[in-house]
Amino acid sequence: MGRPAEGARILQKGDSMIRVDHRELAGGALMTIIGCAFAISSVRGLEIGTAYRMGPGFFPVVLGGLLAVLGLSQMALAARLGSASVAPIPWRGVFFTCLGPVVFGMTIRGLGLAPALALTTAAAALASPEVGVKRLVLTVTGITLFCLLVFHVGLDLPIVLIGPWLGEY
Amino acid sequence: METLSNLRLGVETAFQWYNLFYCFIGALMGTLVGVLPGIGPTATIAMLLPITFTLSPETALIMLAGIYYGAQYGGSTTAILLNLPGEASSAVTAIDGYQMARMGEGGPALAIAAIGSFFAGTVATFVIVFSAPLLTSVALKFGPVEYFALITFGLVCSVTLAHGSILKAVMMIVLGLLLGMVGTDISSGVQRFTFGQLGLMEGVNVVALSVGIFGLSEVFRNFERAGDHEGATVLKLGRLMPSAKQFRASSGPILRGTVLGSLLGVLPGGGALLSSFASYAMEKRLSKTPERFGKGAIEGVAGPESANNAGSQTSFIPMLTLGLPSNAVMAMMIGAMIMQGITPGPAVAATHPTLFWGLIASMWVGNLMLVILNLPLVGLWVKLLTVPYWALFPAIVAFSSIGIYSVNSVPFDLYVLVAAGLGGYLLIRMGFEVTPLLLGFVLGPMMEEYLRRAMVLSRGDPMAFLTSPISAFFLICGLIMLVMAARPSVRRKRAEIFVEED
Repeated sequence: MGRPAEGARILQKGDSMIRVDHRELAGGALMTIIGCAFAISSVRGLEIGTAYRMGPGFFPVVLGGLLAVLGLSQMALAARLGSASVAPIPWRGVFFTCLGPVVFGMTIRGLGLAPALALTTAAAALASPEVGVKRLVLTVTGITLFCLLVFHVGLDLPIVLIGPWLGEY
Repeated sequence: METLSNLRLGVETAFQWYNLFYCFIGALMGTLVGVLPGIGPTATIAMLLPITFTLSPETALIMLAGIYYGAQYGGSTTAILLNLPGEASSAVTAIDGYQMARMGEGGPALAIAAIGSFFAGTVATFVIVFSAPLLTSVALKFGPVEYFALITFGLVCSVTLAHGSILKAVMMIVLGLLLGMVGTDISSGVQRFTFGQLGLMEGVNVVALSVGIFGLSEVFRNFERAGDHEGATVLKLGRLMPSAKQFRASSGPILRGTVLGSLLGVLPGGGALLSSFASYAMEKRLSKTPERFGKGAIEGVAGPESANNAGSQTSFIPMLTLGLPSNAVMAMMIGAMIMQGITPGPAVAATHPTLFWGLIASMWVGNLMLVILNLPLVGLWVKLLTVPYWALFPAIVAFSSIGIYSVNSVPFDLYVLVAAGLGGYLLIRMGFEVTPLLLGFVLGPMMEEYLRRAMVLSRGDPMAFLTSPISAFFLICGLIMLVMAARPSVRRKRAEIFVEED
């Protein structure tokens, strides 16, 4: 997926060629897998019941099976469709942006709102390739103060400012 | 006159000082965030949703509605001045609006967009006032069989009217329905697909899911084209007021756009989007000088902007009267209602009249506030367009993180947010649209519940769906729509409407 999907060329009788769209194929495959996963885990772990008295597994099995079938048909169709070029995944941006909420989730109870916010903002700020030390400091202080003003002062959220790890405040 | 007394109750509620205040704050914040480049109305609402949970239900919904108009409005501003439509429905505005701005006519384009939207919003509010009670009284007669058929019909409509591959949209709905199954099963109390996680016992958090698939994934996508934006040149506005000639040219498109939008907005599945495209196509066809379209024709701004505002207003109708969301924003509204302890559906008008009528009346107030807020302040909004991404994205992440944590005070929801963001991004990259997924997610539990009850009533006989005339009607209509949409000639037409000058 990292490089632009050009659509693989497959030789078919004589020299006529068909193109397979990798993106479509992968999408269909993903849906088939997810559908199967839901259907199989419902069959194994949940009571299906009957149409009259449906168990908790009935609807998920039907939906999971449906999704798998639709995914398969998309895979079949992928051979006929043209392909679109896809931009490369911005790994740095995705990684640091995701790190932000994760850091928040891990530190909010221990460190409290203010330090957790600062760390979250710092992590997310690193996502941009254009960030330097000066911009980092500027974003972290600015956004942390703004959020504290809105959520702590303005909305009065019941979250401690400085958590138990730092001596509760 | 029952309608009049209801309307009075609504106006009284909407004019409570705190409701006015939050409507204003909502419109302001919506415009503020909506104007920011790369953030559309859906992402805006998703991010600001948690803030409203501290308020009373009616004030919360009034504020959310304010955010919605504000964000949509801000989206048109960026479409006209920067050629950066916040979401698909303002993409049409960008075609001629940006060309007008390039010719120094940005001011009149913005003003006509505002005036058209206000007019359309006013008319659409009255459409809601008169049609909502009718629909509610019909819907109250529905049993589980009819409701199941209605939801199915709604989902089918949302697939056939959305743009892109029908097959993919159906898959997204099914995936959404499946995600809606996660959590404790209501009738048996059994845990489903929770992997023993306490954080999933009450289901996937709808706020975390929407902020993830609409907000975070949007940030990722912006990184794909990073560098394009820094130091964006904002075009000069010129004078603000349109000339008499421009007013005359716009009056027809505004009227037609309003009617078109009010009708199409009720249909599930991007009514606002469809109506702005349809209005543009119609104005181009009616025009004596169609060659001007795409080169800065004011009709191409006036029509679609009015249509899209009327449509986004009337899309409240199925949400308020039937509890059925017709687009992602309405799905989040439903989520907000459920979190406030209100069961969406036809009973809302009777059990929460102040909420129901107050929300409707506040729509008009919100639209008025937008005109007052936007036209004089447009210069300030334009400055916001120059906020660089390196400062904007960390702010979005920080804001969404606290917002989501504040809903339940569960750190697990933040991991759901990240998972939803990554998943949504992956799906978008694979060419899927995530709106049907959210619709399915919100409707999933309801649909299952109605299906079970319907089957118990009919003793497991699926023919019940065809012996009930109402249910049969919905199912047959849905089938016809699917078959029509799959026909090659219609498929081509659909592609034409949605791709036109993309």
